[in-house]
Amino acid sequence: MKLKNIFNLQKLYFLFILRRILSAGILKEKIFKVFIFIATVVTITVTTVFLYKFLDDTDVSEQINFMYFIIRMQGVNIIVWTTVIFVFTRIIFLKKGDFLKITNQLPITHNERNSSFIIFELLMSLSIIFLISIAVIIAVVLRTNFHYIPLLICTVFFTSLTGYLLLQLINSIIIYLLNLIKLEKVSALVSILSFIVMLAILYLDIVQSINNINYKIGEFNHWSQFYIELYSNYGFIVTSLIFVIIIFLLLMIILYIPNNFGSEDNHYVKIKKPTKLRLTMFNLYILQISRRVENITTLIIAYFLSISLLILDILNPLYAMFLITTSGLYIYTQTDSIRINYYRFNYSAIKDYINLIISQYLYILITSLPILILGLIINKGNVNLYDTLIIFGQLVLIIILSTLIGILFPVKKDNPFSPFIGFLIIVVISGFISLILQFLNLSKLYNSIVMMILYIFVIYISCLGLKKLKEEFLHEDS
Amino acid sequence: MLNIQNVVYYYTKKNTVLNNVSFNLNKGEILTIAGPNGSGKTTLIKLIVDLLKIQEGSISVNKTSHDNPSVKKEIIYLSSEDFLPDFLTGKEYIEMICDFYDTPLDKEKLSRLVGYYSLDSKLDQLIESYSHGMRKKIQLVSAFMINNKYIIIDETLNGIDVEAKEATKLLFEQYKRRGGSIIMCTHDLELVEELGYRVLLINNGVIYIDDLIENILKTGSNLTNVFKELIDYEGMKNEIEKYF
Repeated sequence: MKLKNIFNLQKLYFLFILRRILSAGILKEKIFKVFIFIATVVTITVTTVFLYKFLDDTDVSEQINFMYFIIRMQGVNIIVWTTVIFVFTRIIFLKKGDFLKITNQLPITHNERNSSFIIFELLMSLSIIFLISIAVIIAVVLRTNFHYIPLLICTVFFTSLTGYLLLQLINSIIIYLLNLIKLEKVSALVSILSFIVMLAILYLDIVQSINNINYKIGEFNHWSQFYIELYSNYGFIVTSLIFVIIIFLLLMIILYIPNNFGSEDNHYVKIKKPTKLRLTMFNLYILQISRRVENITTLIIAYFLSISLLILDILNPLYAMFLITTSGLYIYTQTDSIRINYYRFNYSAIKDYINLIISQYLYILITSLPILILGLIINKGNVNLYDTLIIFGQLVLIIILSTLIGILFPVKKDNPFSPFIGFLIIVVISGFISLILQFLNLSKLYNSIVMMILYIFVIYISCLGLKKLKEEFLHEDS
Repeated sequence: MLNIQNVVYYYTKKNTVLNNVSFNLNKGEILTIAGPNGSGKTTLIKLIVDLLKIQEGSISVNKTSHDNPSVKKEIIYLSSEDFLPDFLTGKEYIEMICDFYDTPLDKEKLSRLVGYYSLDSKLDQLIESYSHGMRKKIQLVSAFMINNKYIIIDETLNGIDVEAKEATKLLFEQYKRRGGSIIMCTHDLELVEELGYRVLLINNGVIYIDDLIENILKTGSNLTNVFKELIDYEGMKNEIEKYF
């Protein structure tokens, strides 16, 4: 494996993101870029100010080192976020096989190709973890000058990187073993399912640890505190050395495990359509969603998660169906071959949009039924009519948002980065809007009105996006 | 009759793609459009099928504007780009196209056509599993399933095997005999000569030649030589010999 090749591939992915995603679609517009920048800065600043005020320890008992306690808790937070982001990236990057085809002509090995992607995934996930933690870091620095910087490095940077690589190692082992026993077709699915189980175990473990906290003296024990304990006992230099050794070993093992497995070529499964079904735009969209392999994989993951939620009695199992809404991120591009047939005839962006939303919603409603029935049979208290209606309502809103991301950041060349970056941008904008609403402190009624206006705006932008994409398509390569 | 009159298309005033293009396509006529990359062929075709809006000039079919819905249903367009819905089977794709053109699915016709194109065993498989050539073939089958007056093909014959090409030529002849008209865009000059119909050579958005193949061949030249003239082949040859 040549490091030079891996480095060159990193450069290629970076340029792809820069030119095909960050300079394409709505991100071409300077004003939108400025808005995103302002939204990010404002969100981080306001969160920092809020945390700065929260970190005021004047009212806290002298027995507790309040700041130290808060940073330790952040360690747990980081582990949870790392796992959630890891699982999320696994689901989003289920499609990486197609994207990696752009490297097919290059004189590189499969191992180099996959390793370079693992490193790139790692860098992307770390940037998100850093974004999530930046407000805490700034607030702590403002409160205590630079006294807690080494501890913060151990908590945020060391913990997340080690955690991520550990998860990656487990993933590589699972995939390697499944390939060994010729089960490569289900390797991605089984790996994600395993991580969902781990996430559930982690959740229960953390809840137990939090219940055992001794708040009087601020004592808290959890394995996520590994680097913090090391730092407290042996200092920063020893901790850093141990960190470097662990990371080096993990990376070596991950890169050493063979991962030269080709990508899955089939995107669709031939699910029989009813003979009488007319192939209208709506029905074609339904066929597309239900035949897509990734959607079927996500559905299995959602079923698995919902059964876990039901058995462990954590949440209403229908919450797992939110995973299915990720299909909205891709639906625009995946139905393009249908849409362009309509461009010559009576294409209407509004009709298309309605078809896109309703087809996804109908698919989710139908696939939710088994979970709903199972939930009613094995009801441990988390399934009730009110919650169920609220979830089905929220599902529409999330479908609208994910479809918006798919339209504003169309997945060119089937790359997994567009939805990833689109998702990040929408999270920043949503955070910004929530902060404004928090600041305005409006009544429930006014908040609902504002949200309704926002959603009408989202629908309007989506329809406008569909119109614009039609124009772009017609003028492409003319 | 398809009438293209003084069509001009530009992105900016300095970047004119088509400049005053005019020609007619008669009933039962086959026209091949050839020209270098970027000469304006695809733009011209997209204008005819109303995928692009005309800026100057007019396009009409039997004196009715080409953007009239009834006229649109008379033209079937096979794009050069691969925009086939991978999640449908070949048969479902044909059903979809028939539905678009309000044509009932003629099972016997379909069975014969898929036979000519050796697609029989593949018809119930997802298009995703089709090779490049098979994807082109299913597009051609869809075109011959619809009994409309015009077929416009953008590069669709590239990449299909000899058997399919021969079947297509025979089907073209039959289509022509029944009064149908075809416009075909291609880079394959040998095929254009072989088909022996009328040819329209475009360069830099201007019609360079609009004549019957036999008239071009009568001058002792052939299309490849005309094309070489068009792209200043001698100049390019001298430069390559000098610098490489």
